[in-house]
Amino acid sequence: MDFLSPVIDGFGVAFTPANLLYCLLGVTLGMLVGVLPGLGPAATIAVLLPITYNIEPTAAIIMLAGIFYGAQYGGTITSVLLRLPGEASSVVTALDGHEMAKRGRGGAALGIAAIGSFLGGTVAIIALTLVAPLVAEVALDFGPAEYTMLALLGILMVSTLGTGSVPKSLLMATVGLLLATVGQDPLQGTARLAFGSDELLDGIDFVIVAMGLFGVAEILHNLESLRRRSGRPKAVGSVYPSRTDLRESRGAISRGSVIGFVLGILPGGGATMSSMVAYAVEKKATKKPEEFGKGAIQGVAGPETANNAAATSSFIPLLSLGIPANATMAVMFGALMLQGITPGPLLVKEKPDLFWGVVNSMYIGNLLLLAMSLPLIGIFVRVLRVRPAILASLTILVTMIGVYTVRTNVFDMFLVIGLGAVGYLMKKVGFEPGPLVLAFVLGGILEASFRRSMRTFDGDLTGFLTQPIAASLLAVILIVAALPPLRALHRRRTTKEAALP
Amino acid sequence: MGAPGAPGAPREPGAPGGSSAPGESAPQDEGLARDDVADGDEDGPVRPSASYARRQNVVAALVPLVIGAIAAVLSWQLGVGGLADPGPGMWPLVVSVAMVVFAAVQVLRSQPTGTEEKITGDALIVVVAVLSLAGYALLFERVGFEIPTVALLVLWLKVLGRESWRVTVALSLTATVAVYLLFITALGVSLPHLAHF
Repeated sequence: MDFLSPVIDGFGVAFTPANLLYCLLGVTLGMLVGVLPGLGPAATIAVLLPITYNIEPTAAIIMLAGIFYGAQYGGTITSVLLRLPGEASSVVTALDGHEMAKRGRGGAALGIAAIGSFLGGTVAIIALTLVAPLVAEVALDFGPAEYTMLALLGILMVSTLGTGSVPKSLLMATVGLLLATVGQDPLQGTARLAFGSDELLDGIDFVIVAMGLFGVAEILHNLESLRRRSGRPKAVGSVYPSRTDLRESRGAISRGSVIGFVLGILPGGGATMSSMVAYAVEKKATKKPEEFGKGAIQGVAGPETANNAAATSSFIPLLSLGIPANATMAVMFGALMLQGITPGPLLVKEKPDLFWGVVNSMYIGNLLLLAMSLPLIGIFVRVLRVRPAILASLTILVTMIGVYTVRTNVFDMFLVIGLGAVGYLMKKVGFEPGPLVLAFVLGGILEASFRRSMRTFDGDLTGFLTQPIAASLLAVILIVAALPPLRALHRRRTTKEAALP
Repeated sequence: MGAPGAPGAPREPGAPGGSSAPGESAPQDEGLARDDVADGDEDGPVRPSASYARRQNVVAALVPLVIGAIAAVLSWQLGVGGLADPGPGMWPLVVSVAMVVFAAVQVLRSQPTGTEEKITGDALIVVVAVLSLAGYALLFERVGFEIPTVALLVLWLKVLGRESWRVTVALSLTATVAVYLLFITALGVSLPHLAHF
């Protein structure tokens, strides 16, 4: 049981008063962010990055992680009561959740979502505790060839499996890779694409990119609907589900935990995709499919459990491989780098306090969220009345001041405003910022490991095939790349068949 | 991530909100979740006509096409080197060529994906907002953060958000004091400021 001692020490870290406080702060912020439509977890974490710079690393990551999984709880509230998903991962919850609310069972929907989220989250933390160190152990042997393939796979999967159009996402990923090359050559220090600017020679800071494309762009985009009124939330009623509700949701919650955990680990998977898959699975598993879309409790329990389990398990690739699996994890990667911590296989061994402190704080965070979602739910429902203009003004202020504090530099402020305007236009033409930001983060790793492998292989590209792990990853990349065209073909064929009498 | 009401359904067979026949992949399942869910939000973004969206897509792809082409030339000039010993320009060149290729594909296959939004008169608010932020950044170091902050908040709350004067004044002053206390007094960050205590 040797491996358990750092885990137990981690509880000591998580239970220090300061860390408990930051955990509470994080999950409360996460709940609020989830409830307020308009600002997603990636944007919030991005906006708060400069502030975390002044906090001790473990506490900072505990807080930011809390925002991320807390938002999964909060997102349910608007989905159910307003049919307005606060988060992309709660979109499917609105289908049956809002129907339940219309029938006066909104409270039961929120209650079962909270219980499912708690169980899914907790199962995923336990699994993470067992899996992450193993993955890190294996990854210790990874060389530049493996990292080249891993980074490539991460970018490709986020572009093809994420929400949005695949060609557009791939284009965005290349833009992110190009932005990452601005500054100095990582191996020789030659200035590249800096156009003689001293500020650009240092490279574009990840914090700036994340704050501009996620934070400012989202605020600007929301400004358009600033003057519109949102609907009236439906009454909540009792949030404690009945015994029948619990019995009916048991299967959905256990299936949701597994689906969420597995899909959360995959790059590009994450909370949104797992909630959608869980919904589809529940629809197939049920004996009464006619109830789906008309307020089936499984349609709430499954996806809500899955998105929370996925939010937790998506920390595995970040903390044990150093490869972020989705856009929010990319921002988290930036937060770690800002603290001078490079996430990767060495993290568990070299910084066990941080690793286990953060992981174990999630148990506490989930408990706090359960309390906020059941007895304290009324407070958060009232938050729905905060007017968007007030929210937008305060967030933009925190963003602008925050950007300045990163390097006490006005140039960065202009850069963030410019990136924000670009991000707004991207949203207008249907380009997702996620793949760009992720590719930007992985760009440096990808280039450095590619060039190192080329040196080892003496310029021979087939060298990748001689490494078993790298070669298998390459095979996975080819399969992932081939999937979208194959699916399109399949779709065309089924449409044709359906058209026949 | 996290853009409310904007995510499309994943291209999964039997995706949620699918057609009446469960498990059958619908031909236009992109954006199904949006149609099914975000319709509750009657004032959602305006979806453009097909030809409008197509034009948007072409313009949006031409920008990275041109940038990619320029970046490719610049990278070439940096020195590419050989595969065994790559020069500083090799990686940017690979990336910008990929960018040009994907952008070209996007120009040729410009049919709407259901994620485009029409640029309406509401965009004027965004233009005003961006200009106000640029002005804020311009004044920030010259006159200290206090006056620009109050001005920015008044503009956003009163003009863009049409809040009452009472809310506007109370909130702009409170927020400015809060920033002072949080960043300068508590966190000790060096913000340019007028008032010294």
